[in-house]
Amino acid sequence: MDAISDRVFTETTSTETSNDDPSLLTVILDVSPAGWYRIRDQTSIDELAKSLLVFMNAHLSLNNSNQVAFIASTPQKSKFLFPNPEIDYDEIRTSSSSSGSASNQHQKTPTLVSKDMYRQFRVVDEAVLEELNVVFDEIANGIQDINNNSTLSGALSMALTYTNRMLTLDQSISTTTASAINSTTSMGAGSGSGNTATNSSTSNPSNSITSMKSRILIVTANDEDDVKYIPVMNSIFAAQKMRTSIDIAKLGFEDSSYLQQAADATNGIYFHVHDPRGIVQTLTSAFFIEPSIRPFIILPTNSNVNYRASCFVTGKSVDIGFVCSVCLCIMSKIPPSGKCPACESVFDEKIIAQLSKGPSVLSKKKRKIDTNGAAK
Amino acid sequence: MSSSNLFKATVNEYLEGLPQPVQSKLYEAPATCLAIFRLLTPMAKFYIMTMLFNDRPVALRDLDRWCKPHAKKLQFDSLKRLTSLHLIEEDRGGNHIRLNPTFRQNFRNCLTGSQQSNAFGNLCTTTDKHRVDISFLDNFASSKWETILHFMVGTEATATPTTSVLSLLKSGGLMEGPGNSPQNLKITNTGFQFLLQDVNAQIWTLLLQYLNLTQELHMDPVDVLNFIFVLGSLELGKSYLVSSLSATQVSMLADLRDYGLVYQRTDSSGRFYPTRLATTLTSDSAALKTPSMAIEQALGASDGGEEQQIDTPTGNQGTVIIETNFKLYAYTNSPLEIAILNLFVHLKSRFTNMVCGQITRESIRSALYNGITADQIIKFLETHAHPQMKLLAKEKLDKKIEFDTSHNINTAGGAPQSKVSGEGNVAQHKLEILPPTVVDQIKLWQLELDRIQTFDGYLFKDFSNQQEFDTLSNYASEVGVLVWSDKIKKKFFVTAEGMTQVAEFANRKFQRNRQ
Repeated sequence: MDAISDRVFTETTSTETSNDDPSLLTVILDVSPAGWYRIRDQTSIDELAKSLLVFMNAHLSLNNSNQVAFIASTPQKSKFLFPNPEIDYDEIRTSSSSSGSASNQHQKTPTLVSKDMYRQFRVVDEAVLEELNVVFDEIANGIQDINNNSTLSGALSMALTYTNRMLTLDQSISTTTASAINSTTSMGAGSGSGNTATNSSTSNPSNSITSMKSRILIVTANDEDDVKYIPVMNSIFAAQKMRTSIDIAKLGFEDSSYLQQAADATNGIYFHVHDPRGIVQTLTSAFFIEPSIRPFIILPTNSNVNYRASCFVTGKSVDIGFVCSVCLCIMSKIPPSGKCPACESVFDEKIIAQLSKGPSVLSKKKRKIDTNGAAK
Repeated sequence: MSSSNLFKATVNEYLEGLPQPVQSKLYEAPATCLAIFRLLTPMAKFYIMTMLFNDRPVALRDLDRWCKPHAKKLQFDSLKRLTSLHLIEEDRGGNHIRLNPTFRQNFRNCLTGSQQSNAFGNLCTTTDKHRVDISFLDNFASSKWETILHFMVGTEATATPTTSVLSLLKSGGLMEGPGNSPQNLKITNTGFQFLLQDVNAQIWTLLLQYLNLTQELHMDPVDVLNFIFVLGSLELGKSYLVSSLSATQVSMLADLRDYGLVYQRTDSSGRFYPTRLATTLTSDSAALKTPSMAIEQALGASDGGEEQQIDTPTGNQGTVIIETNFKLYAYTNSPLEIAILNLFVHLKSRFTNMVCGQITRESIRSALYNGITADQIIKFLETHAHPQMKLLAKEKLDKKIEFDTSHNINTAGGAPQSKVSGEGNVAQHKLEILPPTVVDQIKLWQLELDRIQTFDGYLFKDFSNQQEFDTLSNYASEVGVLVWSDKIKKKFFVTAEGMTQVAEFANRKFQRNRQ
């Protein structure tokens, strides 16, 4: 009898539908030369860029209002390749379709993109390829002053700020062209007979209602674990709050524990691509799980995550270390100043003396104090 | 179901109903492939994408492993959809599936940009003597479309649409009346439902009607559909060559011009411009204004002067405020919107710029009797909600999320088990623009009407043991076809569509057990 009372209506009327909201995909490509040099037998960055373009096209093909952004993280800086606020993409489109204007004659990239390609795809692909070549030139020219520090954390926060902007800001006042296509739609539709001025100023609430989803894909071949720990962790928390998942496509030989944590904490996918030759298939399957269907798919991710933290003093990762009792800052050794490097609280000298007595005396006791993790 | 899903569903239904040779001919055009892909459900899109660059057929068992158990129903739905569109083919053993080779080739070409040159329309390279800009096109499109809508509600002093449009409205059952004279036509209940939809859904309704007509005129449906889908991928503000179109498509131009989908200066002009109505055919309709807003704007513009200054800010946005006590205030003077509200609201008083009313059981029931669903009403109220209501709802939601995340973040750093509950929490919150009491009550009033539901289906009984019953009934409920089950009597009932699935599953299980 109980089956009748609860079953029938709920089952048949409220079917679980995954809605088809537009989504924003931000691709971060780590182009630090060292990592790519190491896997030169397997793939080249050209090949990967091609696959990424197909991947972005595929994302755009899902929904007319879908958007993409592309950030390159070079050893010197992080840079938005698409959308670039300084470039009017309408210009590019017409100049390249009238074949060879002065601005892009010296570049060989526009030929890579067929001019018959679907408009949305072409705009993105052309822009990314052109800019990517510029980035390569810059790296080649500035190869001496490479300081071998990954700028991935910077790129990640750029991606997050852009995502935040796209998710909450009124799209019609943003200058970026990825949204311009959208904003002209909403503005133009309004200006059919009304006046545009009032339109753009009042369209804020309606736009913020349409729920945009977002995710970030990081592609890196960097095997050095030189990602800055604190900025990355902060980005992870920000992403958690924005409900943006961070997916990681890791090439090369080593796993990156911080990026693993990033994917794990944001419900993203961490996938170590051992053989990058057929990467387009990997991208369009494992990395193609849209936020809207994420609750229904078993993510192809590794649950075996190394939750290592990094030392605030040396920047190296630590397995066992000291923790500041005030701000939970992690240290592999006690700083000589006797102060916490993050919050500057002064540690108790007696305990410092006790902790730094050295292992020769009473090694058992020392460990006990260590695991209690008490300084000050 | 939101109205954008609704139009997708109807288009899909039409496509599924096409015979297979027509379907595979459709897949020869890359633009059509893209459009059809966009119309699919997210899950189906995911399946297609995974198979697109995979040269080997995919085992059905693998598909099962990708999905979480509670998503079985979604999986079956999307696979069913794909099979009936003939986008996927099963191999002889029925264990592996692969993509339709034509579709796969063309969609791949579309993504990699290696399709033949005029797949997305043939751009006019010479400049037009009579230059046309985007705002002109928008004006043209909205004036054409609004003429139709105004005519339907009988706004005074509007032009009468052309006879082809009138015959569409009539054959689609949106308007009815004796004879052919436009004065005799009256809007029907279906017509009012039509007005409740958004622009995209409306255009598709008319286009599908148009497709039915073309079949009677012996036009090639593939040609017609291809043209419609190509239109959706054209670039706004650019002109395209008429000469690259087939004869059927040229003859369509005149009709499409009547709906405001394309602009062609004269019949003999060698170029045509797609309007925004056409270029957004396959996209999400969120970016478009709803028809009633359009009409309101038109009215505001015709009133002119200062009044417009006051009206447009609210007029553009939506006007309806609903309180938890079921009172409704709409800041509107548009006859169309008032007429629509009158379908399901007991309107009490009218002022120069607003109407007040009350949602009552009777008013909702009368709407339901007219074939309007509760979801349609709720959707309408949501899209037309006053910006203040939306802001309020958003603030509430933000607060809830803020609370959850700040609650979580303390533990989220390292402990994976805390994350699971976090996701659950986040998923719980939805943007509630309308007061939940009102939404629930409207739904309950609908449920009142169907206290007895009838299902066509099959009864399974006489199981030999409890375990056999359990596996089968569990399977049926996972797939979402189970209607009723009784554990003690060992009987359960599945819907007619689910019968084959469950029977197949039973056969498989039964055989394996025997071996």
